[in-house]
Amino acid sequence: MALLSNKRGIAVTFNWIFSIVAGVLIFSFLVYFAVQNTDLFGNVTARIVAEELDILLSGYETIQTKSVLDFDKNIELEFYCDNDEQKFKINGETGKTVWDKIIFSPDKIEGSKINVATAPWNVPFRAANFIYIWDKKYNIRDDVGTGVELINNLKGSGKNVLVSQYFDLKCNSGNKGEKVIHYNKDTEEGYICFDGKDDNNPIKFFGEAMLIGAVLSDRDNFECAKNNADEKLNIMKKVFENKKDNLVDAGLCEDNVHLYGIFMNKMNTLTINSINKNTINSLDNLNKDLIAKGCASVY
Amino acid sequence: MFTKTKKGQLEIGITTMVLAVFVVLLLISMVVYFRFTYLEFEDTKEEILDQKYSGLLNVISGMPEFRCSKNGAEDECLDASKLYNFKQKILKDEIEDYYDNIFGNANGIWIDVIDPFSGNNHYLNSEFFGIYGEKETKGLIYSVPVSIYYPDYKKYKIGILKIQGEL
Repeated sequence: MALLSNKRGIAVTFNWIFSIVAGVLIFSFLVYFAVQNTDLFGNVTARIVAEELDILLSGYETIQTKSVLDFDKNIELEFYCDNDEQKFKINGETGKTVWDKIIFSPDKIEGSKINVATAPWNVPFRAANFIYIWDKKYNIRDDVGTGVELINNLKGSGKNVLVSQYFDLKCNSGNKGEKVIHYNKDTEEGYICFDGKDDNNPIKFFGEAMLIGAVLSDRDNFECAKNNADEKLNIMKKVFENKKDNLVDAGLCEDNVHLYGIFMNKMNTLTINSINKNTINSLDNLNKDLIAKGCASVY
Repeated sequence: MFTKTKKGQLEIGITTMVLAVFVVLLLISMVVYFRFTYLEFEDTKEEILDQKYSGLLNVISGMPEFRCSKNGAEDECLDASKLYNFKQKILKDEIEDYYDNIFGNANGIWIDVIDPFSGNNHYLNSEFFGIYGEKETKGLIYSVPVSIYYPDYKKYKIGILKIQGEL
């Protein structure tokens, strides 16, 4: 009887030990599986991809390039404006602000391969590099003959875009609802009628770089990018003001130091809606004058 | 009857103990799971910050705020007359917020000039140019050599662009 009791006791103890060890092994496997595959409903991957895309776009920001990003699988990039800040989402998750970058793109891009290009915005000094992102081509009718290579690369079948002559901020070309860009190739001034004919609120722009952005973007994204460009222009004016002060303090251009003052007065009249070819040429000439007089140029 | 009651009580006891052991194992697993997940997130954060700081070195070298140019044509150098007093005169108010968003993770960004010019002519003789934050605080230092151009004097010096930040 005692022997039977002992055997029973050993069996019970063995059962307990076995159950606990088996339980620990099962839970360890489950924890390992969970740690390897946790993605918090896709948020973690989206967040990591957003950060890495932001770093990649930072690299593009300061060079001139044209390339294709291959993600190996379909992704959806959504660009939008939130309180004057440009943001993007990946696969509908987690909006990330693109702080220092000025991006022109359609509001939604889908695909495994995404095109990226950059171009400098010169006014006449380089104020910023614009980044262009797109997935599809556009049915561009270029009545002006812009000759811009990137615009030629965007031509294909897709959304209609008409590039027409500059008409004093009047939207009187194209069809209702069709985007019409009015552009003067010689002065580089333009405006966009996003709603086509009879659009009452055209948006002005300056420069080839913005013309390319006008082809790609919708109204909200274009205005957002334009406001960011304006912010950058104002910062560059302060940078040149600081440079001018340092050059004047250095005293190597004492006889012609007034030229720096004239230059800065001209530069301070630059605003994003008033830039035109005459102002650009004046700044260029003043800059050249400084060099001709043996002084350091402002840019 | 008495034996049946005893048996019932024993079985209840056993079931309770099984449940208790199960809950303890579950709690331990959850603690281990969250610990490992947290460590993985920390590793990912370090990796991303490392990439960010390395990328920032290239970004700063190409920014029009610092890039040198001669009569509109940009060159592969940084302009000393733009760098000098940049932190003191430009980084104010909303512009400071703007650069906080670009450089925010970095504790300090500066350029040390190798063998600066001698004399007392401020931007020419500056031994370093502060761009953001404070020089030599906490964290790892990422650096790259850069060419610094002094437009008044049409001379060049070598500098080291440094970014210090914690991972």
